[in-house]
Amino acid sequence: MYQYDGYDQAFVAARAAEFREQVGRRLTGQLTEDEFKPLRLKNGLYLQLHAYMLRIAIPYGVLSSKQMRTLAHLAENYDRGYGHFTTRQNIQFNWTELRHVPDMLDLLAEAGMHAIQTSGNCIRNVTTDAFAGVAGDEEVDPRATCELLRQWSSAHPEFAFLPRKFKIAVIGANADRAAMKFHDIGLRAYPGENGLPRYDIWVGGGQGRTPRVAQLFEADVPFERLLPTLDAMLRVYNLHGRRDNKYKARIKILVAEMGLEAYRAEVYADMEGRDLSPFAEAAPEYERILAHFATLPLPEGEDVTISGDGAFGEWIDQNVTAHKVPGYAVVSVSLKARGAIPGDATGEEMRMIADLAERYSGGEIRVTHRQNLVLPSVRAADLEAVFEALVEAGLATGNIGLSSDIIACPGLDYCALATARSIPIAQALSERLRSREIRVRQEGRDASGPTLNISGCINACGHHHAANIGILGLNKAESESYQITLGGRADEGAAVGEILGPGFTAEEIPDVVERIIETWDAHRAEGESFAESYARLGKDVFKAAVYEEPVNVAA
Amino acid sequence: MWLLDDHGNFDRHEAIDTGREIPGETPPTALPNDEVITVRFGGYADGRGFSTGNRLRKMGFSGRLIAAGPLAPDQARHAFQSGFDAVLVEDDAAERQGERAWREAIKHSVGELYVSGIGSHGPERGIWRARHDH
Ligand code: SF4
Repeated sequence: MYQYDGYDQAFVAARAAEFREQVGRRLTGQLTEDEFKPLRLKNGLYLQLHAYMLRIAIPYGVLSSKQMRTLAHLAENYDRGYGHFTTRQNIQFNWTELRHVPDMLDLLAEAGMHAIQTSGNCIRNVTTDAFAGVAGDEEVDPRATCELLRQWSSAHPEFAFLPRKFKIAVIGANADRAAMKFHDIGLRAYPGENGLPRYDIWVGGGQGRTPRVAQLFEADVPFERLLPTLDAMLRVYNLHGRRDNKYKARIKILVAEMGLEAYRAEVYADMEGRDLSPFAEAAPEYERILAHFATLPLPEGEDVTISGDGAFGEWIDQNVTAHKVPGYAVVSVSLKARGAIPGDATGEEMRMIADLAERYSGGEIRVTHRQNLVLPSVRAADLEAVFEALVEAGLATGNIGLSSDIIACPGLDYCALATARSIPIAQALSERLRSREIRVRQEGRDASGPTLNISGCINACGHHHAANIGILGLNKAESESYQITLGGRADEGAAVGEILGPGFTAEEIPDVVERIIETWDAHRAEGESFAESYARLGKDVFKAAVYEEPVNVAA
Repeated sequence: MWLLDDHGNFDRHEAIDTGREIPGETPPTALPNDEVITVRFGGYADGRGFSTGNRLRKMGFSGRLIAAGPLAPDQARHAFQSGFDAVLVEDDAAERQGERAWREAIKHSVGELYVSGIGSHGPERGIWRARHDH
């Protein structure tokens, strides 16, 4: 994995020192709260309902065991013993105190980590496929591009006060495991000449109140033109993106209002005649970065097939994926145990994963956009031992990719913008769906089901638009109401879900979701996924099933 | 009025030649022939002025470029690195934000960047350049 050199180390240390100084000026009143806010946001610090929340970047989702232990230390010493992994491969600590944050940043800097641009109207943490570098279907390892973009965008002088936040994702395989087309800019890397990739550049994807699937800006862009193109794309957005209404300020709205053609023309006009010497070192830098990712320290193992019964069998089927090196496997660790809060992990759990990674996976951990963790390179022969250790820690839930593998944002339990709770809804659904999955599997049937995501307001941090079943918490007539969307997809067939009909109470949601799944089961063709069935059936059959008979809710 | 220049001098002046003033949100479409241009930022969180500075330098504007508006000391490096020579600070802002905060703005900022842009007057050399340009 990427290791900081002296320059990287000095850079994060300087940023931490800068922030310490800014906090000092805020505390003495030299900076007003209005002035301080964008500065603290740029460093991942939010004021939530109960406390400050610090969001730390896990660039492209890669963590070392040592870094995970730093996070465990922060959880135990500066939070209430846990942290929350998010859909953007970040971790949030929800109970921090402003005066402690500079110390937390120093500890992070020592571990080669930071909170730079995890929030605010700037280029955010670049995300990617959590299986990058180990997936069997990968054409280009996207991590080197991500690191290149991390460096280019960090403390960027011109793009630090954009109209709104700006999210970039990179993938290097046909399968999209990073919701690439739901980003402001999405990149698909392909193998190119001399070991440098070529890219399809997508623009204008996003969620929030106007969900959009990204459009193709330009196909097959050679490496040399990647940064000059992104530079111009950002500049046109900075100058022309709307600033009068924060809900219309994302690049998706600019592209929609200008039209893709006109936006493209502006970008190319900006690029014309530019001196590209600032990017002259991009290629050698890419190669330098790539060398960090190039060698998998793996002797080829024996290609063994592991199978099993009961919980181990389920875990193998759901949580273990093929590795590109024979004899190894990619292990996902579910943070979605029955009734758990999606994405939460205690300091103790973090330490235990760090130990497991050190022992069985080359000291490396990944964080997925579905809020789970991954041990990327486990010898097939060690799978049983890993499973047993996970069982002991209560982290062996075999539900990756099943419906109970729910994405949920923090919602009204923490978030100042929330209109409804999402965590308790996720917990109730997890109970219900997990018992269904166990039952169905015991009957010898296929337990797979729709993806299910929950957001506590229209900002859609819980990616509800991009789920097969999306749940959006709203506030109607001073009580919570949950709206359901169907047919969304975050994968290579990216689609925005359609609203099913009037909303439901929190208590009704588990029954409603179960009815939707049963209806799918009843109409499903052999081997069909929920998204495929939905595309074939449309929403009427689900609507009828859900609205024709009232749901019974036990009082 | 106070002026912070890219050498770190921060002084109060009775009168400052601010040349032609243009709003941060509208970069000129043709190369201006003024000796001094002041780009007025519409708001503290409105970063358009930085791109306007960049565009002016890209066009080949080689005169003096001043950033004005409700900026904070923390944005001084952004201005210099986007091609500005100086930041204009009103008296009341200098007083409230602290003379020292302005004078030490560059010292307290992230000094080095990975990529140094064309026309940057910032303190950085560029980490990529340092790594590869031996
Ligand atoms: S979706 Fe809304 S409630 Fe949930 S984290 Fe985002 S802003 Fe907060």
